[in-house]
Amino acid sequence: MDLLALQKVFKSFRQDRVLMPVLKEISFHVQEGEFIALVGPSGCGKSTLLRLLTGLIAPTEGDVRYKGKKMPSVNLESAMVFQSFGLFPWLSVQENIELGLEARGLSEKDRRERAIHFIDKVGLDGFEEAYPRELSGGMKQRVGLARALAVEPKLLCMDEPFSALDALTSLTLREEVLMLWEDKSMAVNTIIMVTHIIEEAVLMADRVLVLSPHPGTLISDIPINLTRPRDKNDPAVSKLTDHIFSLMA
Amino acid sequence: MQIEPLPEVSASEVIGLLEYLDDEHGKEDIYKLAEAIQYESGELLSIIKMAEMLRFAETPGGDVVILDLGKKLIKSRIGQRKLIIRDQLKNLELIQRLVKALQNSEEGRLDRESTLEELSRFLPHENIEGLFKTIVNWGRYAELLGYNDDTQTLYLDEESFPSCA
Repeated sequence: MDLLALQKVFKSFRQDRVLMPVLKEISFHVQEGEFIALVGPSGCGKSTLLRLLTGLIAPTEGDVRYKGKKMPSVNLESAMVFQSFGLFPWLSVQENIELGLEARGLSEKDRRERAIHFIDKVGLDGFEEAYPRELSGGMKQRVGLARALAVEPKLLCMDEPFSALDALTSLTLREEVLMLWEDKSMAVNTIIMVTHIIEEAVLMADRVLVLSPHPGTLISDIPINLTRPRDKNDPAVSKLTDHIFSLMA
Repeated sequence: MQIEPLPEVSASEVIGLLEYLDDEHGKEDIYKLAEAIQYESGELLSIIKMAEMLRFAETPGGDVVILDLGKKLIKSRIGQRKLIIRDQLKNLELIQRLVKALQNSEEGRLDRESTLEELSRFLPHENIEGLFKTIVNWGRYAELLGYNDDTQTLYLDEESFPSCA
């Protein structure tokens, strides 16, 4: 069975009494265990699509199904990692991670144990009592990642997770996200990542979905059948990157 | 032994540099690298300096070259990376002196002000506030040092120094 299935999804937002179409007739399926990248130019509705997939917003028309069922509201088997980290500055690293667990009704003891486990998984041990202001961008995003993973989601959605980081830090974080995705002890095995960096999509994903803008329409669904770890100097990576770029140009 | 300050860079940047070099068959011209990743040369040189201090890379001529330990680091899992970095940090004179000062202190703890004074003694011409922040970040990453910003206290991490906890 598909983990996610979208059938003719439309999304519009009302602006000054005018209905603005953002996404138009989007249909695709996601299998459990896949790593999907959503690419497209600014304003093509990539982030809106990610919010539809997690049930944060509902489609105007069409069907979004998770494990064959319509999502009535937020999908509690999903979690989100944000570009701007989304951390609470007055809470420590551990408290930021525990907060999402409190909302899911875990006891204080379970919250603590779960947070410590995922702090260890993402390499944040030693930073438990640090505040976000004390952290580098890379460490802040590791907190965002640990907070999302701590709810033990099946589906992890990431909205431009490396865009706020410098080139070398994002290289490190990309490798670490792939390590976590390949870690069989983790509940999460399906990732959907929005990015505007095509090479990043080709280096990481199993499939790249390409959107065109105004309104966002799915124009291509490209399988990336390259073995990992992938090499950015591999001619096959350049060829796929160029092909996707030409679709968006 | 000469005491060198830690360059103000993060572990993620140093690991990223090594990942980049690995993709480039282990070696890159520093000037070309700065252009490719759009870093100011001063910023990049600080990252390279830290990689050299930790014995992960070297800089013959105008190139930066990954060393065996650097290759081992990027092939390692997340937890193992921290252990390798811990071992390398322990070899640095500055870290050794700070650890000794903490071991000689009451309960393995020093308040922030005393630590800044201690660092000023070792390195009178450095930006001590920036150096302190860098030491705390690397110390935390390697689980050598802990720091509590509420109490402004630096301490030896029980992971590395169980007897001091």
